[in-house]
Amino acid sequence: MIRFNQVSKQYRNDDGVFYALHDVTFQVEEGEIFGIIGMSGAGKTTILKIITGLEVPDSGSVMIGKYHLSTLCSKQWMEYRKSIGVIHQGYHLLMQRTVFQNIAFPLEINHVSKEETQRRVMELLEIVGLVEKAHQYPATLSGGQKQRVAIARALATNPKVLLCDEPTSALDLVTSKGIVSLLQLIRDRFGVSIVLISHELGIIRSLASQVMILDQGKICEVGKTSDVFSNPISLVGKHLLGRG
Amino acid sequence: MGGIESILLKGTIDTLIMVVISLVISYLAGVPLGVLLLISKPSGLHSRKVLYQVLSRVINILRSLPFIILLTILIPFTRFIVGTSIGIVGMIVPLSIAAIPFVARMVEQSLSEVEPELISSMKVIGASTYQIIYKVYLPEALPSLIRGVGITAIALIGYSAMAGATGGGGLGDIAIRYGYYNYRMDIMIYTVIILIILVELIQGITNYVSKKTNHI
Ligand SMILES: Nc1ncnc2c1ncn2[C@@H]1O[C@H](COP(=O)(O)OP(=O)(O)OP(=O)(O)O)[C@@H](O)[C@H]1O
Ligand SMILES: [Mg+2]
Repeated sequence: MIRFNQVSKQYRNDDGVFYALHDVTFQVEEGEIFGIIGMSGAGKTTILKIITGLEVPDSGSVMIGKYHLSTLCSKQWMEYRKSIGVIHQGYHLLMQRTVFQNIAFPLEINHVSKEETQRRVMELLEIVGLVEKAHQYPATLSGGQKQRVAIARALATNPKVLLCDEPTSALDLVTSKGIVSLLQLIRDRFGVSIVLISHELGIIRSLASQVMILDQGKICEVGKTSDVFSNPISLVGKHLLGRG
Repeated sequence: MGGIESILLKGTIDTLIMVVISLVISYLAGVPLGVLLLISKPSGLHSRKVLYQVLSRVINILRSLPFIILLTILIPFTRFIVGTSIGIVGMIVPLSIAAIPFVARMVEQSLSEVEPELISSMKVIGASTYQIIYKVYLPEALPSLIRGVGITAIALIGYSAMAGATGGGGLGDIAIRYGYYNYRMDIMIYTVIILIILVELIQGITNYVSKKTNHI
């Protein structure tokens, strides 16, 4: 579903250029939850920005489903973007729109009819458990509820891939658990592939079938979550997972 | 006393006409210009360095000219456009031209309060630049834009009162003609009171509407 092949991305800082991603190769299968962990600045969000097209890699190739990102024209980008849903760390909701209107936004962008939008948004509200909040504004919601709105919005166009950047980092434990089971439900029900970036190891362990550990733009290890967690090979892995 | 009342009433209406028409014209031109500034600037959605620099400079020059100078420079242009450079009709052109760059900057400022991360995530959802302007920037900044309307209207009242000194009509004209040249202190005081009330009203109404439209 997702294929990164020797992807590198450089940024410039005061000391010159450095690799935010260096020779990164990995694959995410259909319907899989793929965890990414790594210290701050490791390049996790950069991977997400490359998948969403906000950043372009300097070298390497990226395939998402049938889309070869380096070859897309702007019309294909529009089409491709319908096939991915993104949940950002900061929710990124429109504060002057109601919950309903926020979830309807991607449909509006894609000129979906009013009736179809109504039906789809109600269905999504049901899934994320916010039916009674439909006509409230985001400012009146709790963090967990805002995150649910963001998840519903990300699912609106029936994406094949869901990208989650620290979806629970701003939430308390109980609320996080709710979000985790929601993501699980989404995976089971819709068969979407989920890329899950999180520094909360418990969440990765309970959700991800594969995990990748990044450090300074390089992959330290990647493999089955149970293997990596029980027996990390790399120093960074051992350090992050608290083994040795 | 009947005379004073009708003079003041006419002055107030004239001032309101000048301000409202100039306000409408300056927003019709200022909003697109503000949007253009916003998206053409280096960090904007469609960065266009030269366009931004030229636009930005012209706006700064217009904004740094004192209104009374602008008024004088524009006399031939005003005559050409509306056929006269005096009276309330003659004032609408310079008032609008003074307000357009002001509005453009204020719109740019209001819109740039919308977080850049929000804009990039809307781009990822697939919104076009046009959709981002109409469905994200403008609605999200609406409360701030409405406060800007109040600030512009109040600035225009100030300018229009100043324009009275050059035969512009409205309350400023009355204050100068009756109050200053004819030593009618009472009329002078009345016009000032009316101006204060107008400013308070505009401030109050726009603040109220801004609050009502704000859901944060
Ligand atoms: N636009 C940019 N210009 C320059 N450097 C950048 C830019 N974006 C990111 N970086 C740098 O690239 C590196 C990787 O950033 P990235 O956001 O991918 O980290 P991360 O793993 O998501 O970290 P965190 O856990 O803190 O979110 C960091 O050193 C960051 O400072
Ligand atoms: Mg990050």
